Amino acid sequence: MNQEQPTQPTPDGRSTDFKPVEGAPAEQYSGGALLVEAYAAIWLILVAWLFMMWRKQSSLAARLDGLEAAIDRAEAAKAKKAAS
Amino acid sequence: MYRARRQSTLWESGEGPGNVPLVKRKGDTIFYALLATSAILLLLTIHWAFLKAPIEARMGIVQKIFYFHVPSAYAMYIGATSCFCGSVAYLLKPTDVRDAIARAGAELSIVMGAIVMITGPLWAAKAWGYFWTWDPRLTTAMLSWLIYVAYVVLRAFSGDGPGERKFAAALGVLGAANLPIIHYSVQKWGGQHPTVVTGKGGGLQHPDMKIAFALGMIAFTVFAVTLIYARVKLELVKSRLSRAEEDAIDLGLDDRTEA
Repeated sequence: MNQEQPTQPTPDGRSTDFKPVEGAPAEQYSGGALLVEAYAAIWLILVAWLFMMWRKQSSLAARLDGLEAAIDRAEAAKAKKAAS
Repeated sequence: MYRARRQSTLWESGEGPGNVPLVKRKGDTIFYALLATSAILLLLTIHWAFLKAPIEARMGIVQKIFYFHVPSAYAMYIGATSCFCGSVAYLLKPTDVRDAIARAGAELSIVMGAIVMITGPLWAAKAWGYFWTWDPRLTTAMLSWLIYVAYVVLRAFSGDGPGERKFAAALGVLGAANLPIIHYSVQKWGGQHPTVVTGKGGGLQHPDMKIAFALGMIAFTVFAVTLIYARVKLELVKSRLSRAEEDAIDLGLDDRTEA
């Protein structure tokens, strides 16, 4: 079977020439696959943002731990000074 | 010592460890309400778009991308508008809340813009036969997205002082100038981008298509507000913590290096 396959048209080519194909042209892209890819992309992007927010929150928690540790150290030093 | 005492005080006052309140605050109630409404509306949109709205005659099933692509673009506008309003307000009177709104808006614009930039070409592959063309609307939308990427990169890699915040606010105002250009680019310069909603053609020709689209727009509006709310709250906590760290250093407590 020497059937001519439709080639990728350029925007200009579409309006200047029409090429015939024998039989039904094969579907260039599957609509169902593109739809699934689009919805997968939506959820992936949102999950990625959620992950980044979680990272920011973890960073804040680490900084808060540092602050609390500093207060602990200051309190310990104050208690030591008062005892001596 | 301090941590243990703070934790015990929190439990006695009705708050859990790690500053997680056991008694709900008003802001939390608003967030939970927004989150629940977003979830219900998004589920309704998916239900209507996939199970109720008919398949489009010429494009087939890929047309269903439309029910999320356009609302995402709208949510990108919401983010950009928040960034603009927060930036203008910050330039008039600098406060943490205003800066946080601008920053949250810019991030939302990037997230929603990324959805638009990916779902659009996937639809175009079927409808036009190629993923991308330098159409006026596509080009201006990408330009706008890049401006918000620049804003977030600037905030991430520069300091968080008043000068940096003001510079970012100026960029936030500048970024909004492109929004009307995106919207009217199709009317002004033509191009291939469809104008099903704003054009003079037949539009959505089935009631269920209209309902699915309306649900998508409402769902993404509420969802965008929810995301901005969550992001603003996180940014405000960060600002409060930065001030507490500065106060601690002023009092002679070095909290950053010896954690």
